[in-house]
Amino acid sequence: MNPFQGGLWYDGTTLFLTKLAYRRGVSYEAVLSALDDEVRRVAQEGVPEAELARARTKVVSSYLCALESRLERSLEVAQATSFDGIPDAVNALPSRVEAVTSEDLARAAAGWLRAEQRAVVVKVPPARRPGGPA
Amino acid sequence: MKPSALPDGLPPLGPARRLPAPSVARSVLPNGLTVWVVRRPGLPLASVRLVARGGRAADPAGRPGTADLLAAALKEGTRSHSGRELAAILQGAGAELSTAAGAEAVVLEAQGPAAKVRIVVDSLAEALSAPSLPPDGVARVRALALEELATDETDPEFLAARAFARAVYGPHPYSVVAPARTTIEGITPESLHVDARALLRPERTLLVVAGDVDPDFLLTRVERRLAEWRPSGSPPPAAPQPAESPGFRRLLVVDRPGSVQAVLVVGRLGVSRSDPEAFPLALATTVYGGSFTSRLVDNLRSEKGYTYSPHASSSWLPSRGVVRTRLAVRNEVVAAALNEVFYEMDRMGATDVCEEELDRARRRDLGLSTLRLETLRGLSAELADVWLHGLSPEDLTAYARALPRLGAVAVRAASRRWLASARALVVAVGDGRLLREELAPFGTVEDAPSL
Repeated sequence: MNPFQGGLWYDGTTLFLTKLAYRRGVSYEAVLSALDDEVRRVAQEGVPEAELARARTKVVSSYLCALESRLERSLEVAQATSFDGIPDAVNALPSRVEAVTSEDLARAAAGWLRAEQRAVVVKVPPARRPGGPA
Repeated sequence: MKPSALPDGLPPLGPARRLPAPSVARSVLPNGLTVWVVRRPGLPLASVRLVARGGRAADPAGRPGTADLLAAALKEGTRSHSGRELAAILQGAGAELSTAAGAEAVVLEAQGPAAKVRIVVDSLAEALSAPSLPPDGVARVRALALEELATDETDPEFLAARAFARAVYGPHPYSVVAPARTTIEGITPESLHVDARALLRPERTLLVVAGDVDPDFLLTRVERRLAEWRPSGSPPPAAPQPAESPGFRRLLVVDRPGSVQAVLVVGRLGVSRSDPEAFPLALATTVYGGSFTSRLVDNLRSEKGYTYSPHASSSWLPSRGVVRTRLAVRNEVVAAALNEVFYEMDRMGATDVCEEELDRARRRDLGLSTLRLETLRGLSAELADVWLHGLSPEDLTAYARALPRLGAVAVRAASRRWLASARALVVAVGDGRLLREELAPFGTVEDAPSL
């Protein structure tokens, strides 16, 4: 059974953040090790074309959805201008995503998602008080 | 400290703009399924939403929260596809399935490129009309729901919302804000199949598609795909109307020993969207505590510094929503803060709101109505809400159209009825001994009934 609930965020050029809530009774070491296995698999084997195609479509779709709100759109334009120097870069993102290959993903996983470069924070719920909420 | 004045020499605000209602192509299939399609060109996207009337209001007796668990289990696959396969199909269409239960409906939603809308409609329809509810999937739903409940119960905001809903709604099913432990432990694939047949039925379901789509093409497509979906068994009985809030103040304490701050929820039973006082009350709520420039925020945050984010809202639900104020305050100022909340509530009914303040609130609510319809997801959610109220798409913008005519007299009359502190329910979550002392000046303090 998959103990994970969570998601991934890529936060600018500074942080790659993985957030996971896992079931009581599962050790965080087991959760981390499962995560490591997945990263290692991408770094060594890349990603099958069908899976990559789905992921590209989803990323482009989510990006277009973010452009729906005027506030979000202005933030994207601001970000494009800061990172790429031109506001028009917002329109180039879909074609850049479409061009990503399995080798690109393997290289990125091997280069960036390294255990020695990461920090892990484990937050556990407080112990239950007798007579307190169950 | 008063909020700082605006600089001199600013140009006046322009006239408030109209908010046009979207044009909706409507159809009802022979099996009773209602279909609403809105064409909105622009970004090449489409939002798809399937809304099955029922939700928590139709939970089986003694099993509160069943609709939540059923909604979660709909992600676990169909008679033709496993949950993973369904997720992969949707991902290939640029979409991701979200499922949820609300007070009145089980809702499936996904959004993706308009060119793939066909796949999204088919997948959502399959998930709703032919769920497989497999044993391993149901076991996963059960385990995650138990974990979520344990986590939620450490959160004072959750405890306050749960105690408030129970006290306001009593035996009415809206009293449920999350599945009960016994409900979670009791679900099986067999029980969920029975619930699915009762709750997920074509004649009680709305399909909304909004986006850069061709309504004629979609209606034809949907008719072909969903015509075979037939109801079986019988639908759940209609929920009763909730009992009126009592004409006196109640003070309930949820003990959370050792808490360094308290969460307060103050309010009462409210209105449905079609209640004649829904719109005056909405505007009154904005002036009183619904916006960042409201009286409540000015007083409790800017002037007194008791709390960061006090907030008031008036929800619309088909068998009556709630009017509520929530705030988190330091232990030492619980009584002082509640005193100011009561003062601001009663001031709304005791004196007229001046035209300048009213106009600011009207503009804010008009702007917010516009923002809510800005995204396709927002538009489809709002359309689902008017449908659940038995209203038509034109009612989507009824509040925005009514705003210019809502004046001080109507706002004061609605406030007298709905914001009177003498008839308010107060739920306080925090250190029980301290709270009983702090609340004593306001009336008889009771312990909230335990679950």
